[in-house]
Amino acid sequence: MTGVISSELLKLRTARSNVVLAVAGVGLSILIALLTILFDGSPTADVLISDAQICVLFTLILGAMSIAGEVRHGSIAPSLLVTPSRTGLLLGKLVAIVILSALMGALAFGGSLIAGALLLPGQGFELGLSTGQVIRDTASGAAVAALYGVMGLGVGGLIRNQTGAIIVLLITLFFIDPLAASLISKYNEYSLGAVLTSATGAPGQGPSDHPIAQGAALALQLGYSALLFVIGLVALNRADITD
Amino acid sequence: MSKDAIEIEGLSKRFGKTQAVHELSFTVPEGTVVGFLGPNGAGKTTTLRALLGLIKPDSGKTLIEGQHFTEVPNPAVTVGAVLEVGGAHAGRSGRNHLRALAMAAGIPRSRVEEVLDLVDLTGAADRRTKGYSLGMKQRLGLAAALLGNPRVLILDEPANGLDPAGIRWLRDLLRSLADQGHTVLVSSHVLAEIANTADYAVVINKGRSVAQAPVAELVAGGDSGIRVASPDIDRLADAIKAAGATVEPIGSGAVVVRGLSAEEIGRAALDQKVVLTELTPTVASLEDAFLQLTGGEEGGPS
Repeated sequence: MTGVISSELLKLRTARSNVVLAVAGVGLSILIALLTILFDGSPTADVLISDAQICVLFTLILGAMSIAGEVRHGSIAPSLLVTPSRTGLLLGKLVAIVILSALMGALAFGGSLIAGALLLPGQGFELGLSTGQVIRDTASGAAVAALYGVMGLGVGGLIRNQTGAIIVLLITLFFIDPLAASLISKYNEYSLGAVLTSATGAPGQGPSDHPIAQGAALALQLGYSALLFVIGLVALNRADITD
Repeated sequence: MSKDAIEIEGLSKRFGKTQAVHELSFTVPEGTVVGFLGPNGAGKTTTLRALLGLIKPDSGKTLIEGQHFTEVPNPAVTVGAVLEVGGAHAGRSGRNHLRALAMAAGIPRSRVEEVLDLVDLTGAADRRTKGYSLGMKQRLGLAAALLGNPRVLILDEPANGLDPAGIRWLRDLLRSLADQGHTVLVSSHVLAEIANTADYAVVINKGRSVAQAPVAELVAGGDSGIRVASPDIDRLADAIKAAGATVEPIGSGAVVVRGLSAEEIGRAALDQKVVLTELTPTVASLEDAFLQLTGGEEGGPS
């Protein structure tokens, strides 16, 4: 299993599209935070955390591409010839995507908060977080980014068409989930958007008026990600690989 | 007595309304090169993918060294395969593609350099595969298949994209692997390649086996005849037909005769006082045998 994980980590860091997405995810998060620090009238830690949440969009796409990209490029067959167990291959990808996504999340959330701590006093504001709170929020951001990577991997395993998987993810995140949250009051606080803001420690920036606690939000996100991963795993195990 | 490296028994697979493979059975003895022939859509690729656990058959079983591929303990050492040209991420270099596969299989990095050298790709190994020619992608696929120095090789159209020198290299490689005791199952639409390389051929059409025999036997069973040319071919043809042979016109003043020897045709010409300008035995080729077996459909990947 160690070999499969090492192989998947190598795949993630040696394909140019993955590197571009990872750098863009972290860089964009920190850039938005810097713009907030410089131009927002009343920047707070919550706002900076909310800015850094864009990173999870990139880990979500990276997760989907990790498997759907292999199908697209026809490299799934060689991968399955050296790792015939589809469950083993997907578990290797799971560990690799969790490592990369968590790293991206830590850099994005931690970088944004550290930038705030360093630059806000110069703008006449304070971050208002202790070092311990910055570390905790960075860890939460890293965990959520990793769980979004797992969600992407699950959807990639289910759909396996790279473009289709990314479109489904984006439509779900930006259209179906907010629509369902606005139409179904009981879903509102458990929607992906509400859970994301609560789990990353910026509940006030989310769509729900009654956000759930951070620990509960993290647990719920873990459940969503695990469910999608299992669905993707079952679908991949049942699929005919004809590409 | 040699064992079978590959066994396919009663394999059937349907995609929607299309019956891709139907009750297909054949074996590949250890240490042999077996050509897997069939026209486009015959079910060759479906069969090879089912053998490698990529496609779930509706019924039947596929075994490599007595086990289903997914249960083979050390798959890269047991089986190497080329199913699609290259099969590498376009944004990754050839070397990194092979390194990733080697890592997953527990193969040392030095072997990556060996196979790169073997397929003559060392100079281009650090280029992204997006810029590779078809032939280079094919060589990369072969390098991946050879990583574990596997006992069994399964190759789907390995000559695609190779130039004449590459095809000769591939032929020599396959023969040398067979000489070392490796087993090779190779599908190809380049029938001359199979004729030059394979010991046995399995011919399928519309998902069903139509012939399984040594290549020499298939060729010998092909449609041979005698090419006859004459300025008065019509009169001669009538006399040959009257003697019970079949006559196939192949152009102005020439026919192919089946059912009479050259001597008998010569005597018929003498009797008719007809001048012969050609009397040549035509040797059947694997292509003739293939076309005869598959009803004249052209060969190709399926």
